[in-house]
Amino acid sequence: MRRDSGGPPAINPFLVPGWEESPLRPLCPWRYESHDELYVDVNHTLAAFQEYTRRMAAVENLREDGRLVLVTGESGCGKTALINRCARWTRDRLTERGLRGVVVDLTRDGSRQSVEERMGLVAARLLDELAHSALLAPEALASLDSVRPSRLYAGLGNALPDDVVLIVLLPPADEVVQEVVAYAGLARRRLLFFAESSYLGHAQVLKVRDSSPVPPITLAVGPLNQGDVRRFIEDRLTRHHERGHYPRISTETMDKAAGPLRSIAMLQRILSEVYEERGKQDSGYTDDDWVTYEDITRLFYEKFFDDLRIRR
Amino acid sequence: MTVNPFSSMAVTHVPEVEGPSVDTDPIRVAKAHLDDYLATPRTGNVIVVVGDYGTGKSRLASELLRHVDERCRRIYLEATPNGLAELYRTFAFTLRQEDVLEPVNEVYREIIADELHTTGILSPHQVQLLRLGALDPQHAVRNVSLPLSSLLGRTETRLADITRHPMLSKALALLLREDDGEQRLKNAVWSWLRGGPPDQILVERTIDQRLDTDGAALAVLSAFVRLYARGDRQFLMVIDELHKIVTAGQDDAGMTAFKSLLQQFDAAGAFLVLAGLPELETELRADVRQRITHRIRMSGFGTDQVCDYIEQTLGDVRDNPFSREVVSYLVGLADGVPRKIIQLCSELYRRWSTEGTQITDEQVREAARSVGLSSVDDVEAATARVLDAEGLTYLQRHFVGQSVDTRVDFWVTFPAGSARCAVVLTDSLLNSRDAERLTSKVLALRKVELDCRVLLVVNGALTPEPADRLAGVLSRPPLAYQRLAYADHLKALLRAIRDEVRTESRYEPIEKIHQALEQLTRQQASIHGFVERLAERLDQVRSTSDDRMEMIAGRLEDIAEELRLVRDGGQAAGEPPVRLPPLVDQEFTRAIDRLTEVLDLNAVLADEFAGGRPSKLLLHLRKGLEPAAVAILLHEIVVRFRAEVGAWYQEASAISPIPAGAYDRLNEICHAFDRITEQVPIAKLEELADGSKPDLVRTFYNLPLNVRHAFR
Repeated sequence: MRRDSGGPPAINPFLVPGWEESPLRPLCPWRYESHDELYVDVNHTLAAFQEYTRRMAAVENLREDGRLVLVTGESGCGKTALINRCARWTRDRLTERGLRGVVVDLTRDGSRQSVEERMGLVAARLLDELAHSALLAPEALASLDSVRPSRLYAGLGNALPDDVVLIVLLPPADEVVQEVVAYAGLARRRLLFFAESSYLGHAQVLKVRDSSPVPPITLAVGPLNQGDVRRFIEDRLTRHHERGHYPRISTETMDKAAGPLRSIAMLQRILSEVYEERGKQDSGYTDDDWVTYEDITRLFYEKFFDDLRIRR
Repeated sequence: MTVNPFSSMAVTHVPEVEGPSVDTDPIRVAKAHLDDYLATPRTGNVIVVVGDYGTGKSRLASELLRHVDERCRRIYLEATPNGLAELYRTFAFTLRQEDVLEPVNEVYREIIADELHTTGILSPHQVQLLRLGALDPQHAVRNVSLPLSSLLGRTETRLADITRHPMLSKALALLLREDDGEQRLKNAVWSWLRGGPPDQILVERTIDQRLDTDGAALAVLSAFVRLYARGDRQFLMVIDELHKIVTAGQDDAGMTAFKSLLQQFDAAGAFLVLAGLPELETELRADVRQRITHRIRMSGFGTDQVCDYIEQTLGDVRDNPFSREVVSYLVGLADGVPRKIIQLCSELYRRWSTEGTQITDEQVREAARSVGLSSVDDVEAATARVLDAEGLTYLQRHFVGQSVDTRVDFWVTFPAGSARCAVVLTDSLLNSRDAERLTSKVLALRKVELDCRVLLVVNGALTPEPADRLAGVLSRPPLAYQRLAYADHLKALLRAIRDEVRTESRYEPIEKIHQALEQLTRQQASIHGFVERLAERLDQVRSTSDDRMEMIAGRLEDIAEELRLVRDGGQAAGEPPVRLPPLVDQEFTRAIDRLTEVLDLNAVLADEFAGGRPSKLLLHLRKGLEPAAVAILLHEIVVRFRAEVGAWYQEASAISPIPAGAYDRLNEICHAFDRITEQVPIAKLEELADGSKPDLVRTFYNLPLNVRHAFR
């Protein structure tokens, strides 16, 4: 990004401060407090979040009854960001009630294995994390090591300190209903599981609900609605105004971009890269300059046909 | 050195077309049908091409595959007697990954194009570029963060609409997913597509049916046909050697599944060529035959065509040693069968160019006796391999009765039923004398075993006349040995006989007698003809001069010599032949057979060098070197033992009956065998047999005793 001499810096308003190198990472307020403010109400995520807070109002009950939360929606719709927000909220509410919510992020510990293998791997990784955070006494760890997931999760509630509730973020579950149902059954006392899937449709979610001994809280993140794109762009263009300068986008362009940019991930990716590209060119990067719809379509074309260019 | 321009193999290597092409009527007709199809998409065709061995069916198939060139997708499959599920496996292994991924990606691109078309972010030209396959859709989707799960879900739905096979569609869509470093998901899909059991990760994704039954396998094959021929796309598939499946006793469910496959070709607008022996068409169920749109019968070469072929092959630079008269004779002898004609041409040209021999009718006859001859050992080994692979019990070089005529190369026992099958190997069958020789043998066998089946394997040329004469007395038409196809053909025949024997075993004894009588009645005409010819021949003999008698005596001596050579099976070259009474020979044969059952080193090595199979040798060696060494050493010891006993018998039998004192030497030889084998850990053999042959060790401990008993 160019920096004009003297004045405020030229910045990319679509990058999260501190995460400039990874524009597609979902917001994570349980790890970075400042992210909590960056949520924009798109894709029904606010409604889903509110539904979660309503259902979990008596969060202290987790000490006795665990729960699974299943978030579904197509790729790039913001499922992980919603889960991170819910995890943060849960941890804060537990703190308010004199309890400790410990978030264990195992979202990257999935692989193309059978359910049994995947669950075994998750269980082993959970124990690693608990050992690392010294939440379990060595003898408790030793007694739980290598036991089957069903025994592990049943025994974990007793082995954890009295004030601790584990908030476990599970790896994506694809379309395997069986795995989600298994976790719904394993969510025993002091355990809150978050699972997400891009491939479970409405029918399969109903199947999960019907098959689970304790039905999970299910949250669906939908597609972008009318006005979502404009709301998101306006938020980003307004929010960072004091940090630096950058070109503007007309409301007409925003509304036009709502046609092709159909998910929050796509919106975030294309606009952040349009601004990056613009920053490298000499076509103006001041508050008086404009990013046009043509800038967006050009970048889309170049990215989309990237391998075609390579082949040629 | 003169280069022989004729291929001595004369087998078309599909889909390559080698050598000059003779555009016969069947090839012209088939190409015309194919041209019609290419000009009119969406019109399904099922063409059946039938003809005898070597009549150019495979050649026709490869000509068609070449004819379509790149104009449409094309696949060549060769059937085996292992059924329709195996045919699907052949198909699945023939497919390259791109053959599967390409049409799936094409559907995926269409879904993406539909998605982007409505957004207006790409121009119509750019969307068209996408549809035409100008880019890798997975890469493009990743680059702009398109909603992957939704696009893949729609692709799966679209694939299910096209293939009408939800499970396959799910599997194909999984190939588009991002996988882990080990590609476990994709590997699981490939393994399942190739007939393997579905991996647990597939079962969890509702892919839980293995493609190992005829119905399941052909349903997926049909789904691929629909995928390959969807819309205006065209697809040519050739299934060669289909008779092997059909004559191996296809059950009703299999035939129904096959009929459904043919319907798919018709409905999807694809072009299917089924090639096989003439019985292919008759063996197909009537409702399956109705699905056939065109029939082509292969015709033999005529003299003109062969003359053309020879001229094309020799070109302008080589002399043509074949006169039209010789070609005409050659064509008659080979019954117009192109493969035989080419083999004969090759052999005759070789003789002419290397030995300067003029090509005459006599030369043609001589060549006919030698062309295509593999060594007897090769044919024996190939036969033994098939019998082993089929899990059949057999005795090799066995005398069914006491007369020399009852000697058979293999005496096969089936798991159910009491009927046996004799496999008899013979060289070329060219005339009525050959037919009579073998008829006499078959009758001798039937005299001892009324309902034994006789399979005649001809290692050389087989002309129509003796084949016709023998048809009445044999259980199945003679099988001409062709190295590449022999195993499959023999397997199919054995399975058919096994099924027949199994069915008969369920009959009451009276029914079996009735059946045998019917069989005898059917054979009567042939036998009667044979007896008449024999009587005629005897009359001729009576009236012949001494010269004629001398010729017959000479021929008898030839036969005796042939028998001696055949009996010399286990001997090393150059050693004197072993002549033993049948009962004694049987003991040695059984002992050697038991060794071959656990380790047939020759067959294993042949397999190893042929490549492509799981290493049987390694499996043996994994059990340690000692068991294999014991098997090899014991084989040598038994062969030597037989040679010693044979030498003794030759000498001792000069006086008849053998004097009692002569048996002392036999006892010495037997003791020597015992002494030697005491030093050999024979029990180790059981490790090779995995404990499945309980009497294995006892066979060798008891061998000297049994040999002595057999002599007395």
